[in-house]
This record gives sequence, structure tokens and C-alpha cells, in this order.
Amino acid sequence: MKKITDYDRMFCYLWYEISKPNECKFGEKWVQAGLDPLTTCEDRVKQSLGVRKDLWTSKEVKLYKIWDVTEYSKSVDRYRSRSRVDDHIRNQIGFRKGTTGEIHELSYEVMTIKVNKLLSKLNQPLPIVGLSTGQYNMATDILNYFNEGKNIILAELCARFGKTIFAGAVALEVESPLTIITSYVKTVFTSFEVDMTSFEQFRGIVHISTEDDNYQEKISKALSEGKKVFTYLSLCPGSKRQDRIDFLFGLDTNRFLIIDEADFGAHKSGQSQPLIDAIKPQDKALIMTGTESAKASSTWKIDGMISTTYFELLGHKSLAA
Amino acid sequence: MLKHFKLDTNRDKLYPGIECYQMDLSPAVEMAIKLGLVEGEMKELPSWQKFVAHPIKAKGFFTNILQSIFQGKGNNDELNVDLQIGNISKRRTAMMFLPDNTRKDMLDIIGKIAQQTLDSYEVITLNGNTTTQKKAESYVKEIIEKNPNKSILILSAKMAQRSFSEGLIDELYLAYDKGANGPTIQKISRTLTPKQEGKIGRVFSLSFDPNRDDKFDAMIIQTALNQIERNPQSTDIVQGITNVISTIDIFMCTKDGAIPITVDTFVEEALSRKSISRAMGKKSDISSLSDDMLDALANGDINYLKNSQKETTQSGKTREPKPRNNKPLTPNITDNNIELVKEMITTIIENADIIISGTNQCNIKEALKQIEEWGEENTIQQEFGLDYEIIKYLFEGNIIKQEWINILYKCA
Repeated sequence: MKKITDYDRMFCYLWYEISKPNECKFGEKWVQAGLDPLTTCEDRVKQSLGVRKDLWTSKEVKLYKIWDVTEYSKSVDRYRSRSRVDDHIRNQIGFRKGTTGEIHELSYEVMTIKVNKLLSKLNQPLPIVGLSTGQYNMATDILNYFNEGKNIILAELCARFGKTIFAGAVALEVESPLTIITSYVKTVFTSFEVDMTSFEQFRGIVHISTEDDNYQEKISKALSEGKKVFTYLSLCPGSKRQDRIDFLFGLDTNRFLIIDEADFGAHKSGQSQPLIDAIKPQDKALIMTGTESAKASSTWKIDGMISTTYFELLGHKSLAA
Repeated sequence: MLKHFKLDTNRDKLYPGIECYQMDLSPAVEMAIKLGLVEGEMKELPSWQKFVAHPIKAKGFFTNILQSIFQGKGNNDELNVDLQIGNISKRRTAMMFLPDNTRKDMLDIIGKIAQQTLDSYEVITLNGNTTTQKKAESYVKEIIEKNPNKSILILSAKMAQRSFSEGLIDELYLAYDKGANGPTIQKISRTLTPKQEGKIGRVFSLSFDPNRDDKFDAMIIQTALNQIERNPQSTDIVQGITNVISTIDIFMCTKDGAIPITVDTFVEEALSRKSISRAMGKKSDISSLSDDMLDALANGDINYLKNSQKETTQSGKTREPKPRNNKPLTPNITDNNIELVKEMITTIIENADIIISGTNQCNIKEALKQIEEWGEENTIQQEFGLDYEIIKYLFEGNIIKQEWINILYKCA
């Protein structure tokens, strides 16, 4: 999708300053045939910094994401250089700083999720993501476990494995209508939503946080319309946590539960026991951790375990080279 | 075969490479002692633990080490990193982890010593006095940005082991004596944040006694065991380790530069360090054990067998460890209990030869049957210091796998 092509394309880009993570700049760049879109967008960002190119050199400014919006620009008759397709998208996102600026008062991650969702809704094709050898093999192993009727799987996955995309891929392959992503670490949810809205395979998934006021209504409606739902449940103790668990596990559907950073807070019985009590025999669960798998699974009865180390990834690298 | 996703081996090419170096500090310490730079307990059995307890007392030693590593001074060629990697670093971004329990005030002192010693470096000390876990990453990035021409040395003990990414870090120093595998892997991962294509993260294990240094063992052996598990025809741990070591670079630092560690050397040393059985103990799935069993294992006397087998080791401890069976029973499963259970399982794996050689049976289940026919359950119970039924359950419930016994005792 973002490789060099023999036709002109329209791209949008998003950058932010490291010291101002809650603001980001969204813009457009016409990429001519034969040019690399990433380099072209980087040049555009550098150019837009004017006399402050030192911000780019010192890496204070970070180009976070680029999107191919060619199909979308054609659909709104803006498939041409300087067509202001960015403004067309921007108006649908909101959160502009001032009335005319190109800065949005949103974190770069939240802005990315919003643009991803909008483009997905407007039928702009998204990139297709492939899996690394480790991700592919581990996903296959987990599905084999599930096929054998082993439903609670512990996964010890090393650094750089790419747990988020991997878990999303397993969730899609499992084909449970409801995927519950839960963690004690709230930043996990943003990472999931960014990745799960960035790629074509995840198009159509409805993302609902259980912190939304009317999350029950949204989830029930989406499920009744046959949509696949990813819902996010914080394990941090709070007065509403048990109600959320009761609702999610009371729904008449099959669930796929993902516990991320399972060795961090989520392993304590105060967090894990409500889930253990709520999970139904037909539900499936993936308990993910980077290290300390024994700690992560201490309160669960595990049916199967997968594990990969960084050296195994390097083994795949040497075979791929 | 997955329905929605294809294999993309190009993604495999993105992992930064890793080189592991075992660095022997003992010659440098000996020299520091000769020069009168080391005082007190550090003279006897030097350890990182003792250093961080009184860094000012061992200032001469630490200064000597830092100068040798980062500046190639002091005629300690085996510590000269430029010589070991065969390249002169222009601008270094290094991170050093000291023992987990280093006090904040002591880490501050260590940071000051490092800054005095390495005046061309910017030394960043990460602890509760300087930043928070949440802000550590941006704190470091900001200092790096403000010092674009200076080399950077980041010092930490507990902070920034996880959720801390700085792609510039390509040298990582493990300056502690022994540590649990999990945190060591987390620390090593700090040098694996991708930056530029072809990045290699170099990890240096700084050890006073390299023969006992097992920081890289767990990752290597676990990888070998994972591969064996996926290929059930193979039970040859040496072949498994050979396969792993052929894909990674692990070196021993010498006066003439780094030399690759051979498979034979590694296996021999790993066996003597009991690393293979420890990796098996770590892999054991204890989730099917009842709370009573967990309690019994957690409170088992881990030294029971070990004490009868060997002389007290010179581990650098200043106090005798308390026997574990003095601890009160703890009904709740705690993180510490899990570690104790795994340690006890490791001890049983290490001593399973008592059952095997006593019955002349490689199949552990057959061996246990034999023991029961002889009515020798009490003997086994006494040998292991643990209820016979629990030992039996560990083998029959596949918590300790027959394949591991085959691997360790060459039974297959």
C-alpha cells in the first residue's frame, strides 16, 4: 500500500512534538508516481517546520503515521495536488486548535484512532497486515489448543514479539462475537485500538470502552446487528468494575478474553478472581505476558501454554535474510 | 493455516540483532585491591551487592571499571569495550542496571562517581529522587536531546525495566550478581528497541565470577527447550543449544578481544551452573497444583538435598541463609511462593537421579511404581524432604516432564 507506485497518490500524515504529546498536526501530501510516500511526507514535515528544522534533526518532532487516502480523495472529488482533502477529513474529526489551524488538541494516538475509524467507515482501503513467523506460528498453536478444547491459554511472549497485532489476529481467527480486552495497565487499550483500526483485516470491528456511559446499549446493539465487538475493560479496582464484568459475561454469546500485561497487577487475586468466577466454560482466554509467566498465571487453571524467546525471533530473522 | 492473515517473513527482518558478552571483572578487582583502591568486605568476596551497599568505600574499584570499559584506560584490555567489539564508538548511549535493591541515596552516589569519572559523558541516574517510572522515558529523551554531542550513561536499579523505550541505547550493562530470569530478560530488552536498520544491541554481563554467571543461560536454554518441544523427535539438549547458539552471538571478553563461546563450553558450564534444570523448573506448569501442594512445595527444604551433596559454596553471602522450612505456612499464593515452588521443583529435577539410578528405570513413572512395589516410599520422602504423594504427582501430572528427565539423564 505504501510502496512506490506508478501512479500519483494522495497521502495524509500526522506528526507531533515529543514535549507536547496532547497536540498533533494533521496534513496532506500529494505523492507523485515513482516517489516513496514516507520520504515525501517526511520532507513535507521538515519543510513545514520552516526555520525550526532543528526540531526534526533533534527528533523533537516525530512523524507518527501516514495514510494513503487516494480512494477516499477520489470519492470526494479531491484527487489532485493541494485539494485540501486533509481539511475535509479534519472537519469530521473536530478538536481543532482555533478555527482554521491544522493542529488538533488530541493525543497522536487518539487522533490516529479517529482517522483510522473515519477512513474505514468511508471505505478507504486500509493496509493489509501480515504476521511474522513467530506470530503466525504462535497463533496457529493457540488455535490448535482451542480446537482440542483447551480454552485457557498462557502466552509468554518476549519483547518485540508484537503482542497486540498477534492477539488481535487470534481474536479474529477465533471468531467469537465478543472480544474482551482487559488489563491493569490502561495504556494497553490505546495500543490495541490504534492497531486494530489501522489494518484492513480488522475493518468493521466495533470498539467500545466499558468506561463509556452507555456501553451496555452500544455492545448489545452491535452484537444484535451481527457486528464483531472489541470491548475494553480496566482491571483497576473501582465501584463499577464488577457491574461491567457481570454485564459482559452475562451476555448470551461466546467470548474471547485477552488479559494483557498479565503479570502486572492483573495477576493478583483481587483482579483475576472476578474474571475466573465470571468466565463460562465455552469462553476462551489468552493470558499474555512478557516474562514472569508463573506469576501471571498463578490464580488461573491453565489448559495450555505457548512461549517464545527473543533468540527464537532471531532464528526466524536469520532464516528470512 | 490462518483464515485472515498471511505469513510475512519481511517482518522477521526488523528485529534488532543482539550480541551477548560475558565480562570477567576479577582481574580488574585484583588490580584495584593491589593498588589499595578497595576496602572492607569488597576485598574478600567482591560482589555488586557489597558495592552498592557502600559505593564510596569501593569508589576506586568502580572508577577503575568505568575507565576500563568506556575509556580503555588502566591496562584492563578484557574490559575495554571498544577492543571487545572491534570498533571505536563515536557517541555511546549505554544503560547500566545495578542490583534491584540498590537504595536511592546509594544510586545517587554511584551516579556522582560515574559523572566524576566520565567527564565527557552525561550520566543520567534513574530513581525516585530524579523521576518516576511513568516519566523516566521522556526524562531520558529530554537529557539526550539537550546533549547531542555527549555520550550518555543511564544508571538504574529498579526503574525503567519495562515500559521504557529509547532506540539509541545499544549497549547494556548488567551490573548485578544474580537475578531472576524475568527481570533480566526485561532489562536486556531495553537495548532491543529498533532505531536504525541493522541495529545490534550489545549486552554485557559484568561478573566477578563468570563460572557462576548464568544471566544468558535462561534465554538460551529456554529457546532450546521450546524448539525441542516443537520437535518431539528430538530430545538432544546439546543439539538444541547448538541450534540456538548458531543464530546468536555470545562472547567471552579476553585481553585479545571477544572470542565466541563454543557450544561444548556453554553446555559444560550451564550443566555445572544447574541452568538447564532451572530453566526446566521455570517452564513447569504449576497451575494444576492444589493450594496444599503449593504450600508444601513452597515450604519444602530446598537445601535438604543440596547440603548433603556439596560443600557450602562461596556465594559471597555474609549471612547464612535461613532454612525455608522455618517459614510459616502461607495459605495464599504469593509471588514469592511461586518462586519457592519453582525452586523446589528445580531441586527435585536436579535430584531425580536418586529415583532413576535407585530403580535402574529411565521411565520415571515406572520407577515410581517400582519404588511402591518395594515399599520404599518413605525412603524417597526422606531423601527429598517432601511428601511422597506430592513427588509422585509432580511426575504423573506431567508438571515435571519425562522428556526433561530424558534430556538431563540421557535416558532416551
